[in-house]
Amino acid sequence: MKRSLLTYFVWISLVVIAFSCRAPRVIISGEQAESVNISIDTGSFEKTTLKAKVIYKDKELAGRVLLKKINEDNYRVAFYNEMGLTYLEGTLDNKKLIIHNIIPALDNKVFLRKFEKSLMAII
Amino acid sequence: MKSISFILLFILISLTVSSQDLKESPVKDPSKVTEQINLASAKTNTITADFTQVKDMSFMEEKAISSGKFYFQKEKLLRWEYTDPFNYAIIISGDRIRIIDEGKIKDFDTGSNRMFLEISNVLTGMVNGTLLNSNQFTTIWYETPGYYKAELLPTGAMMKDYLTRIELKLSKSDYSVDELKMFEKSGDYTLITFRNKKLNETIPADIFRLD
Repeated sequence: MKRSLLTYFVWISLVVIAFSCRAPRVIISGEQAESVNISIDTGSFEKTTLKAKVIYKDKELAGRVLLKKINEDNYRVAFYNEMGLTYLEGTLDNKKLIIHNIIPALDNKVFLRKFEKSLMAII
Repeated sequence: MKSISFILLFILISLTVSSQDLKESPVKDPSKVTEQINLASAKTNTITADFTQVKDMSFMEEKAISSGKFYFQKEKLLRWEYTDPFNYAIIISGDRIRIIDEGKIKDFDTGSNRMFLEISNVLTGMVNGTLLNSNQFTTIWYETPGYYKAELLPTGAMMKDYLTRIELKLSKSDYSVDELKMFEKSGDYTLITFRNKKLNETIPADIFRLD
């Protein structure tokens, strides 16, 4: 983990809008999670692609999050940009995010904790 | 019996010829190829094409497929627009970059953002041929009867963090890019295939307009 990046991610906002016809919208801002118009039933999807954005000050990293259900408590997750570059891949196993592959710029405890929380809010 | 043997022999010969067609061999004189590409690039002022992008994610056991339209105009005007399954466009106009994400506009200045400068250089460099002469990559050339393939290996530390190599397949007829394949550290790759390419056709100014 890059220690210097811990201060970089003071707050992270993850905006997620599902692409499905139900068009769910979840906004999570920093530690204070706020959910608006959630229409995803817990565990009701097998596979979904979501729009995601990581914001810090004037910088942002946007892309797509693919969530794939493997079994009841296990999901595979990938965060990648529109041009196909993978930011991270991992497994959400019993509410714990296990990273399989991540770019150095995001390899940060604070970011990963918030990303994990955001995913938990969705599933 | 004779006719069966003949058919089997025919199939065998056909398969052998077909596999030879696909076999890539190293280019003997890469400088001649780059010279031809530079000449073709000098004569190309605009490119319009449709593209299909397939992102192969081995860990996810999934492929993400998207498609859209691509526009390029010399010297540094580019619009890379996804239309399916989402609407997303990157417009590069000189040192300025605009991203239109589902109608929402964001502007960036490559002068103040190194990442966008790299993106801008790679995207425009791929189509105007300057990437092949870039010191950011070492290029290895292969060829078949139908195409040239440039294997670009990144030399810079920042680029190496993201990509292990980029492969460009160029048509032997007009030296334009037919395929672009980006390989990541994880082994995942993204394949972009261009089709319906139109060279030197007028592109409406609105396509690149940022104001």
